[in-house]
Amino acid sequence: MSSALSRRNILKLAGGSALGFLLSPMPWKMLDDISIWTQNWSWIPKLRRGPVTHKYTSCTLCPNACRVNARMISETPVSLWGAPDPCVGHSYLCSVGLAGHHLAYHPSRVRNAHRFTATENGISSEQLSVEDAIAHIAKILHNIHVRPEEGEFALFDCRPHGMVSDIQQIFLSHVLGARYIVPDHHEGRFMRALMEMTEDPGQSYGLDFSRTRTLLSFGVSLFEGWGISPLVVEQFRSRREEFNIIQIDHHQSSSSIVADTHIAIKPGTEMALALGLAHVIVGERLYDPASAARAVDLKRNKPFSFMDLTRRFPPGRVASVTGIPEDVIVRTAREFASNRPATAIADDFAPAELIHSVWILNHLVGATGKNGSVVQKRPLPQPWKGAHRTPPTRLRNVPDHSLRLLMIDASAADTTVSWPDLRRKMRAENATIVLCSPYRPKRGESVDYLIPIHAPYETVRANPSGEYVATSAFQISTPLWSKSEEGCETWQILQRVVSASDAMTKEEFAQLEPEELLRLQCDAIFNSKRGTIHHPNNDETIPLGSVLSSGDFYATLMEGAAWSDDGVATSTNGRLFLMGKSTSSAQRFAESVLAFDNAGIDSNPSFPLLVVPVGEDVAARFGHVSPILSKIYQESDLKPRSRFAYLHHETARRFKLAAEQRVIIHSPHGATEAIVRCDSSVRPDTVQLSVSQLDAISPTRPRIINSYGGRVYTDQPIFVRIERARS
Amino acid sequence: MNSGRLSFLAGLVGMLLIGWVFFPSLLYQKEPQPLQFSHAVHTGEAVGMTCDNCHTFTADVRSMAIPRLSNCKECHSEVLGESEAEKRLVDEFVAHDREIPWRTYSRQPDNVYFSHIQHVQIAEIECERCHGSHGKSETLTDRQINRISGYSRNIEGQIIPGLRFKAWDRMKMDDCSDCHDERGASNSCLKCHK
Amino acid sequence: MKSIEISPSQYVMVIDADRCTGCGACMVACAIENNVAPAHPDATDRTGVTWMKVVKVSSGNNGDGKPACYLPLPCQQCAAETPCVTVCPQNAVEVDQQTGIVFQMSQRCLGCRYCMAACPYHARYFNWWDPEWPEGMEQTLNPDVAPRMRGVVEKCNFCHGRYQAARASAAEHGQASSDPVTYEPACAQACPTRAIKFGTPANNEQGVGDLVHSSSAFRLLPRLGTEPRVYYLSKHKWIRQMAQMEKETSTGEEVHG
Repeated sequence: MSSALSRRNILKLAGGSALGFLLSPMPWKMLDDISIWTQNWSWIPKLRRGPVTHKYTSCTLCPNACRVNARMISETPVSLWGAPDPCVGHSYLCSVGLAGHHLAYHPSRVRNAHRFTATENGISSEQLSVEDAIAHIAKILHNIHVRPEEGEFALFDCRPHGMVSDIQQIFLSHVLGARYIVPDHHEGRFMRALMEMTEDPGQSYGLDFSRTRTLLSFGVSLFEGWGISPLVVEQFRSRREEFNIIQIDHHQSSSSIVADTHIAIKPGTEMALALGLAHVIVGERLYDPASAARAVDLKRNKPFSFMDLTRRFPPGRVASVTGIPEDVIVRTAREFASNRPATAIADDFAPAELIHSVWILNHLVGATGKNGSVVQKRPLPQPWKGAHRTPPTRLRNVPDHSLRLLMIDASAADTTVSWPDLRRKMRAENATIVLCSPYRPKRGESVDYLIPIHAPYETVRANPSGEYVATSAFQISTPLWSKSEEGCETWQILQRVVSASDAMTKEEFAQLEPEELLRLQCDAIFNSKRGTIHHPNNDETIPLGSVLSSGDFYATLMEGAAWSDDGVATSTNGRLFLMGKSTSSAQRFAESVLAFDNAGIDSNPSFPLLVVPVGEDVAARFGHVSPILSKIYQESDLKPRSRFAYLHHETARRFKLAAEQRVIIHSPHGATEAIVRCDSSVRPDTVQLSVSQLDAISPTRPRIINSYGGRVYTDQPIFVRIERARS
Repeated sequence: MNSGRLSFLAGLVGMLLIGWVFFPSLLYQKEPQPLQFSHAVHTGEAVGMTCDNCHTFTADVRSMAIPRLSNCKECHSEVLGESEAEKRLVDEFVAHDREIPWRTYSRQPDNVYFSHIQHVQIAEIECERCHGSHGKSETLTDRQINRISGYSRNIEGQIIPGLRFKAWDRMKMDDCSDCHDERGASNSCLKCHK
Repeated sequence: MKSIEISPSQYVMVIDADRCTGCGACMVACAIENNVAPAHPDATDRTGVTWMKVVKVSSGNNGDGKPACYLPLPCQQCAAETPCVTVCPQNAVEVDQQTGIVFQMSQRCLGCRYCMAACPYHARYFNWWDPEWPEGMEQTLNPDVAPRMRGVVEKCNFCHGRYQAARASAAEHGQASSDPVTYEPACAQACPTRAIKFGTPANNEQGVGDLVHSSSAFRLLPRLGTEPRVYYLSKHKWIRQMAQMEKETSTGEEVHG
């Protein structure tokens, strides 16, 4: 055998093997398979298979409660679409809502309770069970109960809305000394301002644009965001030709790009324009006679005269204040007063006196209490009518350094809390903040405990419609996934904390499940015997009276149907108060108008440009949205971005700046760097800067509002000058 | 025969053996079916069922369904015969209302769109054209998954050199496009890729 | 305007620029429908993947009362001399004769990006990174569209997954495969203001047959003779002219942000 091992034989063996290899399917098959493998990298996700089904539910990301048609593949949602909904009046979803099913998989999602402790190297986190976390918190609450001098216990409800907020208030009323805190600004402020100007105290109002012919918007984000926007889009969608939109805006916002008329106004002078329009309407007697008869203080002089106030705003003067040509002011007033039904609207976050002035315009043209404009509605029937509730306190009214234990309900997607404001309310030492949220706290949010709650579409949630819709409506947001084991709702955590602390709660709420809570709400609606039910499956509307039992009603709602109240026969004889119902509110309004009148807005010649803050990726920065929103905020230039200063081409020429140039923006308070971009939708005497750049140049912390696509307000106007940066 | 030739032959035969016998069994990962099933019994004269008695279109008509337990339960709510597999069906699946995790032989990769309804209903192609005598099979063979490409052997073809003698021997793209050519159907990428 | 040379049974998209509010719902709906992954942390407006991309276009002056507008830019589905088809060395791009859809076969793509250089509309996107979804989110992928990999080019194909689904349900009703079927791409379905309309001129779905002939209709860069299947509508003269001349956008770049 020694010869078999010779080099020659080994070579022959190799030769034979090579021939055999080539004659076998091995190389050819491997070549083929490997080339297929390169087209199917194992780390590219594999698609799920299974039949397509559809499920109806409703979106809880904002108070508009849009109806959702979820496309499901084997019990998992793959896309969400708007579904016809006569209650809310539209059938589309916004960009955030379209990706709502991603929120359960958000990268900052947490599934366990955490305790955070500050260490020398930053903040360390430690996982613990929900039971342990609740026991810890209950102990703190117990101590507060025993020694009230240690500070207060409070719940911060990031979005006070509907039944869940209601039950939280009832819980807290059984906890001695507990506070129920709500944000300084939230939805419905514009609508609620009307209460101060009309007679019936128990009445609430909604907006019915179905017949509106002229919409006069004072800087409202009409096509994006929450609140009024979906009502406007629906009219724009269905009857664009008859729906005349006049947008008053300092820059050419996305709303003014699409509006019929854009009136460019000097920022901060909107109230002067509103009163100027009122001046023309009154002076030319264009007002609605019936409404004028209802307005008790139109001509009366006590205690503050409406006539005297408007007399201060003749078109010529308003023109010089606002920068709008006089003839445009007169023409707009005539158009608004004659092309009726007409409605004027302002942002929830606008200054109170602007909101008031806008309501004056509505009263003058007879918009209030009319179908097609501002209609009365009945509130949603509620369970536990007589139950005692802790009244809400606005965050700014909470005494500084008074809170020992604070629980934050962050179940709403837009939980934008001003963290420094919140911290200021806590005691300097020994204060505990508990965040109830599906997501990890963001940078700069120093919480002590995090307790995970359900993400949207993971559990049943009550979903009453927002404040603006014309009639009250109610839907249930049914889960898209079968119930997950972990997680609960904030009110359940609150309930467990309270009962474990001996701080006493009423027995009737012990161990309530979300379903039972919803059944109680359904009972309340069912017993009212009002309204209709709309089922998206067959697009049919039936009266509630034809449903046999409350159980059937609940079952129908669980399938994705929606209940909406009957319209109210509008009374047109209630008195209106243009200056405000109470003497104090009238005085407040008169004083702020006079203050504005005396001071006005003046620029400093060395700081010639006014800053218009723009909400760059507000949603991405301040709320939790699907990562797919990167298409809008990161992978395109659609929205204003941080790092950039947006200037009109003329302004750039005037200051000898060119696009893509690095500049320094100086204000009397500081400086920030930016890159120039030219945009002809920016007003020539202004510069648009993103929120993140304002801190350096603003005298006070800018107020940031939390609706995506919305706006940013600063407490004072910021004037700047721009210089080229030295390289 | 001298030792040189012997070495050459040893190499040749050894490699042929590896390539033709061991390689295929190494290349494919065998996945047994969860339950034995005889198509022949069901489609035979005694029972006389046809394919579409159990393989129906899904509600969205985009695919042909692997039968669900509800199909089986229509007859097998309790044991009818004497086979071991049927006893397991009733005891392990029907009694617990548990779906049978069948392994699909002819699943195309994710980038392929195939619509049974267009082929069966509009073009009136017989099941056998692509699935051969599967409907007459006595037992369910193991599903074989290619360890490199991840495709099922039914797609790549049972014959290891990748030859096709009968229409149903292989279900690769060329086989689809040959048939499309024969019938004058479009061979545009868009038609079958997603 | 040139005469329309598009076969009436092929799909066209008509986008009303005067109705676009720049909300971006179409971009999100498109990415979800077509399994486009969220951005890589380093991705920018030049390296991201947005089959549908809305850009803000500035007139540079007062623009007869409308100084800026939004233009949604999907693949223009060129009907004539389709630039990406002619340059592709791999035959990975194909114009479907029946539907007119320009289809990118990502599995066949080499990633040479000739097509991106050739496309006058900048409507093609290269996958600079592997598509990655946060853990668990891959379960929500649309089963009708295959995910792509790093190193290949992709683009809008008028939601062909929806086209195939519509074909299947047409087959259920016995419709022959040569008839056009009615369907709607995700962007058109998502648009809150119904600015995007879609259909075949022959069937005149959503009025597209009439709209393409209206006096406010225009196409982008008509002088190139690519005969896009995407039409735009605007009553503003500067917007229609901009389509032909390329004016500056807000970003200081040309029309295609």
